[in-house]
Amino acid sequence: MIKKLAAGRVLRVALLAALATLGRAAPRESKSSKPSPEDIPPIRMIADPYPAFNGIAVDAANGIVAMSDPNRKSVVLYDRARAGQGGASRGDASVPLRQIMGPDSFLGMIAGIILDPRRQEIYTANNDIEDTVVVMPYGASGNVKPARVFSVPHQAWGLALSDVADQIAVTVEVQNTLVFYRRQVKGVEAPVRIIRGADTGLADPHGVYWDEAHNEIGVANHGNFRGIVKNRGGGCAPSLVVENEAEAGESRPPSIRIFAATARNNAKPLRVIQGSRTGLDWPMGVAYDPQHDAIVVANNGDSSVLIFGRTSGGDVAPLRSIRGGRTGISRPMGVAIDTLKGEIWVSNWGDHSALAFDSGARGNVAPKRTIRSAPAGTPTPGFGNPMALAYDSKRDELLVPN
Amino acid sequence: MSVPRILVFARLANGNEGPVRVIEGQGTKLSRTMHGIAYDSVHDEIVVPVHLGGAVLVFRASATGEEAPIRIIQGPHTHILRPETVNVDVKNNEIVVGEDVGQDVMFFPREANGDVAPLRTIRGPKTGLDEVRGVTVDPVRNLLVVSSRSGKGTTGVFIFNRTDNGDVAPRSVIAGPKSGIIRIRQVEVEPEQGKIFVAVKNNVESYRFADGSPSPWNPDKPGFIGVWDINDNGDVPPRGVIKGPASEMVWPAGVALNPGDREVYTIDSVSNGMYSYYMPEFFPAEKHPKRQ
Repeated sequence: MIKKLAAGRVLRVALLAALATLGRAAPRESKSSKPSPEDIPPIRMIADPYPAFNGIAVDAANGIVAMSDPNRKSVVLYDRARAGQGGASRGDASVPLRQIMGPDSFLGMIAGIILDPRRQEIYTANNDIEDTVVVMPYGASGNVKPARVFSVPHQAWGLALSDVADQIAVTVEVQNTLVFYRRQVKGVEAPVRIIRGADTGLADPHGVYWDEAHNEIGVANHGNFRGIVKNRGGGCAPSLVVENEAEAGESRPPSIRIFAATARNNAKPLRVIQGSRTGLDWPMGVAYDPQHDAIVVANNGDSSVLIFGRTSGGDVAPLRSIRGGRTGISRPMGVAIDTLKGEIWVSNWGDHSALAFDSGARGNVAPKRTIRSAPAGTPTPGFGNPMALAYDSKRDELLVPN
Repeated sequence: MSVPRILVFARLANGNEGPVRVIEGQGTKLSRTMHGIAYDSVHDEIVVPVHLGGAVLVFRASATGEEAPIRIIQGPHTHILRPETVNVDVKNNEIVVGEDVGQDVMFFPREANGDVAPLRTIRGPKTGLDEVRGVTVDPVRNLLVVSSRSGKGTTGVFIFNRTDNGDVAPRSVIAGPKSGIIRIRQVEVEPEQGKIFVAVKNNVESYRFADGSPSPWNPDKPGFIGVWDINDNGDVPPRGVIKGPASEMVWPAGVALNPGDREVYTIDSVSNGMYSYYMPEFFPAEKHPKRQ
């Protein structure tokens, strides 16, 4: 039986561009016919034609929520209030306001995303391959060139912006580093400062938030550590000097590390949330909720959102969590706070959706609204720039690490 | 990349299908940049490198969810710097680890667990190795096959004696314009025939802003799966190729073999897709009885 990729069935115009590269039917399960000796079609393929959400950002004042999509290499913008209504509430794919994608956009393996409401700009980090941050105007759509692009080290993941400092902060996984650039950065510029070193405790950092009210920065860490990477030219400019490697690799516990917003170099964190009681499990995106004076964490490993007090430290349990079958949370990657409407937004890697909860939500509660990039129930292969595979002959299965 | 996990698919899955299980979560100790994976069919185990944690993990092959590895090779005595790729030599009971930053290949006892020193290490200027991207062993001919990428030296397939140790020159190197190899990734050996299967990715990874974006949208030269004889040496064109627009490949990074079903698999880092090819000419029946 021919299995279709479901192209054209429910996707709207704005998503058709995404299907241009994959808008064919999956191949028949039959033996190949070869158009030329070397041009050989696959007999089977697995690929996801829909946007898969990584980061999420919300701007209530301008009424938009934006997601980064490393699967189809796009940024998708939705109406914050309306996208989860109508057909989407019944399980249809939501209609985006705009989708930015194409060769001119510079968008690739993107991760973190933030919005600058004042200047109406979108920032998203090319985590792999391109090693850049792309800045787009809110009105960008389709295959358009960015307003600005600036170079960042390889494996940039999280982004945070401060109007007060007029700087942008970028986490770098492999370098266990937080790098700061001036906000208007363009092209190749040296950072204005970095936070990096043994005392920082940074280890495979991911999400970052900038709390301007309390002059603090928080960073989510997975805990993988192998010293400070030697830069041999593989991590784009600005180059960082060669540092000593640690004596051995380590698998440290995950943590949220809170620094003074003005910290630099080998600064110690002000507080560290770490330990078995925290429940941290592959913490990805983080955000600060000023209404509840709380730190909100996308806890990818156990499909939950954890909420800690801003001043929490040590091995502490979260104040509350959002988890369970009714929540719809599935392998969350990003969180964002809508301070005007009092909502927590969550982007799911696991099922083509983003969810809006009341910011005071706790337990196994249903979201207020759901935005879907594909019809409800659409399978999610989950590839993210895969580089290897193996065949399990006993189970007749294929193994793919991201 | 930014979404660490091991996805497991049914071989016959086709289209937009999800994995049958996923190995993921803090307890797994996985990180991003797992650029290699090996299935040990004798002991029914999975081996993966953890680039950011300087470790090699071994899981039960049936592992699912947040399941901890059954063995971990990690610590100062391992001399593991940043493991890029792995394979398992079941005949000689060894795990083979290739490193990009370390520019080396290390051999560990298959059952090694903890802070264990390698049995042997191939490293040094005579080896010609730079950023090691793939490793595999031909147990029939007792050879080690390594794919290595270099910005200043040779990018190609390096073949050593399996028991080589230290700063030793390779027996042979397959590289050069006729080979078509510009960038290279995972390698596998089909030992019955002595064939090397290579994911020739051929992407442009400048990582320098001034050089222009190496965007997935602008692949400079599309990659291919190339097949060489293990006795090839020098600037030799592949003896078999899977490539072209119909193949769907842009930058194929991985390659795996299933001789029993006459199939070759690849994973593409641009399209985020996995592709299966029926290639009976690569697996003659006299060498490979069809899988029951």
